[in-house]
Amino acid sequence: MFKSIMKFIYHFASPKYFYRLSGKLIPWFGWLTAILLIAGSIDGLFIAPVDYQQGDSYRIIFVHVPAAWMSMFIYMVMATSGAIGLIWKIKLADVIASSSAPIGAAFTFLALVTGSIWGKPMWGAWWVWDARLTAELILLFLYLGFMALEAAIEDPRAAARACAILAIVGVINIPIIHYSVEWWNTLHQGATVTKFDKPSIHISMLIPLLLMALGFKLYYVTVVLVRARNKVLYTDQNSGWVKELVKKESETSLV
Amino acid sequence: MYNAFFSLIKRDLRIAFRHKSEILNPLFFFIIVVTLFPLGISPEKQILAQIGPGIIWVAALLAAMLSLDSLFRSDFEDGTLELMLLSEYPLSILVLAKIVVHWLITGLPIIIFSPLLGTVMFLSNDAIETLMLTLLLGTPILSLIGAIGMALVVALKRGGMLLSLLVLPLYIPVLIFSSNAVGSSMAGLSISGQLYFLSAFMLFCLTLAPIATSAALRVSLE
Amino acid sequence: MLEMLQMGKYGAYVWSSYGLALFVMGYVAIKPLMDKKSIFKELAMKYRREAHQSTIKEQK
Repeated sequence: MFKSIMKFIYHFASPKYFYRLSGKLIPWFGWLTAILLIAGSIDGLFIAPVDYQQGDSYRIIFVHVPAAWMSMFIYMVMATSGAIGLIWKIKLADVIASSSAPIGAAFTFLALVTGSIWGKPMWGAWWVWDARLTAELILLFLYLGFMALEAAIEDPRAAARACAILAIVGVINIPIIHYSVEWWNTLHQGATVTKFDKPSIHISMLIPLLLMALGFKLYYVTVVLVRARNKVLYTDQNSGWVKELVKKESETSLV
Repeated sequence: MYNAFFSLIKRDLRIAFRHKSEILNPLFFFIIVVTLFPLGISPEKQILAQIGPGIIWVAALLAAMLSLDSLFRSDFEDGTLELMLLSEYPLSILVLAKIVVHWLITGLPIIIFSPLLGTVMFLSNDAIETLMLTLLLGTPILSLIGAIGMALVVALKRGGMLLSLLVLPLYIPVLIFSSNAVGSSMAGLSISGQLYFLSAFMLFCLTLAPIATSAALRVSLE
Repeated sequence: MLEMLQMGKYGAYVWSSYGLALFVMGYVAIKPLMDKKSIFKELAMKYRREAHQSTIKEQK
């Protein structure tokens, strides 16, 4: 049983099969992402009611919170797929991990900047050492470290394995870092109104949030597939199926 | 196995004492960095006492990080590391021995000289005691986590900058709890919570970091 | 309509956040699509070069 499952996984993870399957999936995911993001934005920007405390500025949350969620989620994906690549030597898992890093870093950056844009009218300052923003900043450092390590090691296989170890170490440390930052923040909290905390979010605000969160997740799946396809193509450039594919493509583009 | 562990410690210590700069340079660095702050900010007693714990700890962090090169670099260059990988003993035990030596030659001197710097920064006696205690619990963590990072970059020619990018974010919990403990004891508050956290974190790193380090070494030396 | 776009007094903040999100996510999505084209081009060139070299060898 286990053997046949592994066999299936190896088959699915073979570059050729992955390339073909993901090629079929990407348009679907792409359109679904676009629909969700557009619907979520319209709902969040115009339909959801004005918050009685924060006014319209709370609408930034519909970008900020999903981006922050994704920044954590993608790091977890990187660590998990890195571990899979390390243990079962599935190349595709390494590819997914390394293709995820820039997307995760982009989301982290987005969460940081939108958090600080939201903070300006709320706190009266562009930056406050709020627990969530600080933790997000540290997460950005972790992403940058991952990408820098990957760029520094020339052999792609060795780079993938080193990065997998780093991601696993990072993912074990993230809860500890979060805990310590939160603890540090409660001690040093000044007169600032902290956090996006909304103990009971109204359903009319929850729907756009969920739409956006789902849209962001699908966006990640789509983009990571596109990036992974590029990497697979490049690393497999000496095998027959890539040659055939390129040939076919160049013929059709010439006509 | 214990034999291998202790003979490796002995060998590395002997080598370290032959190159005394390996022990002295991190220590000098630590002292100089701390000295810069009163010159850069203000020699006023109140200000220094308030920022002192953080500064001493940041300096300790940087000194520990910059000295990580001595952990594996020379053994990598002369091929000893490759032999260690091939030896019959578990690599994580040998790695742990190297980490212990690193702590002995960089962490321990820092702890010994920290009361001096505490006095210079106008910390109270209680705070200096806490400072030493947190350094005693915290510097091993710095060596342990640093070893993982060093193992990842040991085969790279210019790994220094990269190493700081990998390791410093992971040092943050140590910095937060340690410097806060010193500050709290200055204010006469209880510090047992911080010390418990540091001890737990140290034990956690002690069990897992050698394993991660040996995995990283295997990747780097492939 | 205009009032709606102004978002109370927070228009600049809200719109800059959404605009930035659009820009960043758009860039991250479009960059690999452009990369794909250049990879195809690069590989096609490489294969052609290889084919050319092998015919030269045969002629020799």
